Amino acid sequence: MLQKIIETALRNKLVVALFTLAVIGGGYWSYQKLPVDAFPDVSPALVQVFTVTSGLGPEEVEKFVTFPVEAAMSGLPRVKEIRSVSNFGLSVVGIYFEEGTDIYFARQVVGERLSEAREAIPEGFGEPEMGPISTGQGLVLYYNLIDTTGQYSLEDLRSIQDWVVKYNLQTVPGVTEVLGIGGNVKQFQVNIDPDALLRYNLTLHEVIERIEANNQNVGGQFLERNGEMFIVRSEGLARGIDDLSGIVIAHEDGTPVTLQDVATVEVGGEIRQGLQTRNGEEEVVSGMVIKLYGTNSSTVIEAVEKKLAEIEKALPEGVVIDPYYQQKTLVQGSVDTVTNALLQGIGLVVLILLIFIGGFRPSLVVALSIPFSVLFAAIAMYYFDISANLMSLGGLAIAIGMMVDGTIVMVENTDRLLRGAPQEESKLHVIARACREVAQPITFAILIVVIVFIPLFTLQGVEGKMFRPLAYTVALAMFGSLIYALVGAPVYSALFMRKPKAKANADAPREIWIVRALVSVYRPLVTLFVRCRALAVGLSLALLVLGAWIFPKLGSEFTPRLMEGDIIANLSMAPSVSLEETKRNSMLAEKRLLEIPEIEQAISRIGRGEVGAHADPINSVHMMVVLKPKAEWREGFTQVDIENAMREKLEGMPGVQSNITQPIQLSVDELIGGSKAQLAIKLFGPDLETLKEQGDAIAAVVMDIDGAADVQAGQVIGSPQIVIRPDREAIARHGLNLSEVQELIEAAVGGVEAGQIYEGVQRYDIYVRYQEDARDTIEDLGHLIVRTEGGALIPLDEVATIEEVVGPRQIVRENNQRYLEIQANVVGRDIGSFVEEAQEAIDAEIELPAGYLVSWGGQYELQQEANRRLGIVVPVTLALIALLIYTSFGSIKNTVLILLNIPLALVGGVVGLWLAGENLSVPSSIGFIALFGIALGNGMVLVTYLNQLFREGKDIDDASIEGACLRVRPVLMTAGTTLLGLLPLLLATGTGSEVQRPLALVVIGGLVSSTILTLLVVPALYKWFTARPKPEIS
Amino acid sequence: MNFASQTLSTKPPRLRALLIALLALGLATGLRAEDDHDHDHEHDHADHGAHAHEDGEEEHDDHDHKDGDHEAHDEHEGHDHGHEEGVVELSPAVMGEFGIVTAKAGPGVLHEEVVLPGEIQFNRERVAKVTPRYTGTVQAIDARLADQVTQGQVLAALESTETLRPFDLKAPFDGVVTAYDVTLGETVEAGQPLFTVADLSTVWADLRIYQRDMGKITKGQSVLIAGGHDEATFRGTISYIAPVIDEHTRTGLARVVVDNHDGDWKPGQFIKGSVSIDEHRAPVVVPRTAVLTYEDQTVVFVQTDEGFEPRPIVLGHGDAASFAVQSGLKPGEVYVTRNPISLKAELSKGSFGGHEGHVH
Repeated sequence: MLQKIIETALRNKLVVALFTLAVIGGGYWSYQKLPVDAFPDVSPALVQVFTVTSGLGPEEVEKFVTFPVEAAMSGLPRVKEIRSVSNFGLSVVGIYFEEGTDIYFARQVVGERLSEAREAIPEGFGEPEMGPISTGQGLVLYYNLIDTTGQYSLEDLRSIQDWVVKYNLQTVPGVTEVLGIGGNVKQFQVNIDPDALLRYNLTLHEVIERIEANNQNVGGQFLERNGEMFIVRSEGLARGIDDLSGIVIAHEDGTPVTLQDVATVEVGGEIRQGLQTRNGEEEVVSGMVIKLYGTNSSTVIEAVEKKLAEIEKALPEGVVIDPYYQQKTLVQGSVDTVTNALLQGIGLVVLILLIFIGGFRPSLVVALSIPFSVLFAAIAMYYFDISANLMSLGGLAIAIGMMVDGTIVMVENTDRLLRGAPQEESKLHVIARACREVAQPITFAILIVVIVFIPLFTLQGVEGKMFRPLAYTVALAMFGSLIYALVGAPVYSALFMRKPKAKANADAPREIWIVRALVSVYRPLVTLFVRCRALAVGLSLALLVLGAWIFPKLGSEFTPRLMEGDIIANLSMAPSVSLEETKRNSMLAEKRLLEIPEIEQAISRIGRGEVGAHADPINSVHMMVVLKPKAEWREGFTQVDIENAMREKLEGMPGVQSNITQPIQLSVDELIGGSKAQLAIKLFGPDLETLKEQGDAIAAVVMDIDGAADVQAGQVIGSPQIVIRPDREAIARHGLNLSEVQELIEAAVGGVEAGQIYEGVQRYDIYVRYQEDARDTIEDLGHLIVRTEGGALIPLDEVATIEEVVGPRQIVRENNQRYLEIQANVVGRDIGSFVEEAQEAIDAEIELPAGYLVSWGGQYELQQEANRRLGIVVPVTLALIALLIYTSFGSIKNTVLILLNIPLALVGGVVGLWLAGENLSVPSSIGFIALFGIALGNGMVLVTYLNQLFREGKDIDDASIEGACLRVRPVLMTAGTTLLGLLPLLLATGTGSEVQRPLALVVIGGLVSSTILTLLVVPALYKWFTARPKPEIS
Repeated sequence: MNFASQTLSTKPPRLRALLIALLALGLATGLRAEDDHDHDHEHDHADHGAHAHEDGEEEHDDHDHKDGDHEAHDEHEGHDHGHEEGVVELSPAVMGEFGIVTAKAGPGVLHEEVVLPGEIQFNRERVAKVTPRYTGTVQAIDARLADQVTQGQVLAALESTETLRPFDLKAPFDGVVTAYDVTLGETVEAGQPLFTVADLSTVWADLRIYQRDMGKITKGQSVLIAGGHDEATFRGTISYIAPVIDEHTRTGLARVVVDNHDGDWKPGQFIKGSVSIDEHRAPVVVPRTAVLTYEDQTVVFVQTDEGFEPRPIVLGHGDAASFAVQSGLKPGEVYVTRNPISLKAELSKGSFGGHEGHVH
């Protein structure tokens, strides 16, 4: 069949040329259309349900809101896990669906149950709503609104954010949500003087009713007059403070009592659960742009930027929008890193070709396979919806060297045969013969490379999402290269390559000098090995022992950390602190960080703003550190150095715990493990106090283990509460209802909304509450007066006890069980061994009460999952490959000989990792996988040729030496191209290079060792593995 | 593998074995990574099982030496971060940065007070209803509402319907006409009140006492009466406490006689009275900003040689700004008066007490 293909191609050269053009043209067009992301989106299929329940404590939120939502959501199809956080005033339930669930399907089923949950939540405790349709990488741009003139208040700026910037940005296609934080949400505050209520014999309830009743527009249908229709409407809306103040609350003997007689009305800021500060100087108003699920980051960011420029023009003079974080930089950095590596790789590969083949024409034929394969892959990527990102483009960069392998073998054989062909044989005939000779091994070699990547497609979860695109593009590009080798290479050889004609004196050196030089060194070596096979065995054994000795020294990790170029410092304060105290501390921390010369801005997001992306409590700070351009950094400073400098600065801040991470890392980590650290130890159990106690003990143990950094036990309790417990007897004695007392607490202390004021389309709440001095202290609360129906005036502390207690900060649950999380990062050693040691220590030192159990998560969890799967996938692949080789050679012995390449290649990869000080990780595992393919391919080509010579009747030893010498050029060339093609990835320092480096390292190291061994050991051992020249059907 | 060894029959068996071993080793190396991790995994599971203990023990033995190290380490840590002692060390620079202010404990005066709502009333002892002694006809009215009148001034002239003799209605004392109900030519009954004259040079401030405060309010206490907003204030004493409680509002009544020569106070006006319950001199008085709750105890942070430690104290009386300390803090000790929250937060970082980001 292969011969047919080659012959058909040679007969239809024009068609093949047009086909090539079509692929190249189509590929270029597809590449332009490809969505570009920083790296594959690894976020889980997750739907979040947010419920804002203003004023409720975590216990009530858990009981009345979180639980009904969880209950409604369990039992949904394809749900994997339900996690929840019950915070002060906010419940967030995360429903995790099985991998690969369509997000719109997930939202639909959640949406259907949401109404059920809504009914189960008591009236007035909030409306559950789904979060934005986005993922962990959805936060594409953060900006600050900065007033350069100093004349706008935080209320003004926030109004600009909420009603101008946000509204306009939300119209940008691909933007699903814009969330504001910081500043003050404008509000018309009615601060009631409780004494005035007593004076006029009013209740708070009556005041609220009055305000609502005096602030309405109504419609009165229409009137007809002389055939015209007039719509009747009444404008009764209050237009501002004056209107509000004038609302009549009561009549006293014909004298109206207006709102201003019992209250002061003013514009103020809403009660807030978060704010944003900048550079230790000021509070700012800020927004986050969230992109819609599945949209193209680069185009969305571009469109957002364009819109921002437009919006800025419409803002009041002096107010500017300062985008301080943009994923664009990261996207560009990542893509640049791999495109550079790709281009450099192409250059190096062409160089190798020129050196080894010597002629420009054959090199051109080979080089052409690179654009063909890459663009073929681009078409397929477009077709399969694979975005261009660090991983998918990285796959192409890895494959550069391998794409040319098939064609090299073909062209090399053609070149050799052309030189040696008799004059009378036509060029076309020689080419057809040459191609036929190697078509089968090439096809099998390339198929093996494709097959070794197939198991990667079965990877699940995060590692699957991360590395599948890489496997896809490698496989696609290799497939493209196979097409080119079989169809393109013969045709272009026929078109471009020439038979050496006139000067063809028979004995003229057929090889170029470099190959001759190589062979002159190689021949004695291979002869030595063939003659003295023990040497070959010894060398192999020595290498294997070396490998076996080094291997345990390697550490392991999930994925090397990708440097995003932006750093986030997470600060957490004591759970009891107020927002103002957090603000004070985080501004101090900002000042400290700005002392590091590489840091340009430090912007802290404290607590939470508009609900939808974050549910952080007010003692939690995410401080975005914006770095100066790399050129301005101190000599030799890296991001890690800066992070260490930051750790140093933040250390010794009393009452502040810190943890350093990066923006995307943070949001992805949050979505995946609900954890912000590499290692998350979860302690499950029912009682918060016990959880806290045991959690602290575990943290103490972990803290003492070598390499532990940033160890923190979750803050489940520690939030001070003032608990008002009505005394039922006292209430009964005074003839009160419990609700009367509690309404007072809710409305007087907490405040209630009583309608809105409209300013154009902007609407602001009217918020009624007792004035501050009446509810400021615990004593004031005791003095609140409850009025009975009979008119008796009873201070609150006569009918209730008021006490201070320490309550939960937040309640986190996983699958309906409360838990506490202890997080840690691991510095200077691999997580795997760290976890092992920590587990031992905890087993030994801590005895948990019944009903409490520990589970380990975070990055560690992912690593285990990946390893488990690879443990199944790798042997299966090996079996598959062995089968393929066996099909090709029909000999078990040959197959075994070729498989021998694998351990030898592994050794090189292991040594490579060890020398570079890298860890075993998912990328390095993928390197090993690729390595198998390449090493096997080389072995196959060689063994095929040896078989051929042997069948021609040569003596085994001579055939081994002769064959090896003849094959040294293609073997070195294919290995050399692959190696040099990867070199740029190895040496790259740009964004994302950290992830590709271990992969390149393994392949390069493995190639070196396997090439040496292919060339020396395989010929030497060939004798033992010869397929018996039994009477085949030949 | 079997098949391979058969075909190798021509070679010395040693070499064959070697080769097989080589292959096996090679493959084993290849799979080692996976084996290793499987191990991890099993171990992880074993953690929860009953099996775990045995495993753990065995390994514990293996690592005996290491554990010993850890214990030593522990002690060291304990000393360093000193949670057992619960002490926070801070440099003056950090204290300045975080606005942590200290002061020496010393004496002070506390003004304990209770704020009561109330209203201004007429001084009922200085209100007179002026009535005619005989039934008569009003001949002339000489005083109108709000007129200032002096003692003996004629308010109206009447003529008796029986005797037809004229007689006058006179003001009983200096005051203001606060009400009159009379028209010219009207015939009025004897004893029908025609004028109310009130002496507003003094008024009563009637304060409501809630049940809770009744024990604290006694006659003679000093009261600051304020009308709210920017109006005048008056300091007086409680001259009367009602012996009964108003059945309607369930509140008691305390009365202050207010001097009103300037006419600042109008009957019916709402006021607040701040009653000074007690004035204490205490040997140790701390501002409210110094006091925190830490581990269910009321504490102040005291500077010791090792650093700042939370000191449980017992609070005595307090006023709006300060507390008296009954015990726990001696005069002369240095304690934190402002921003002790930073110290509390540092201590509550967790029982491991270490600094964050601390790499061992």
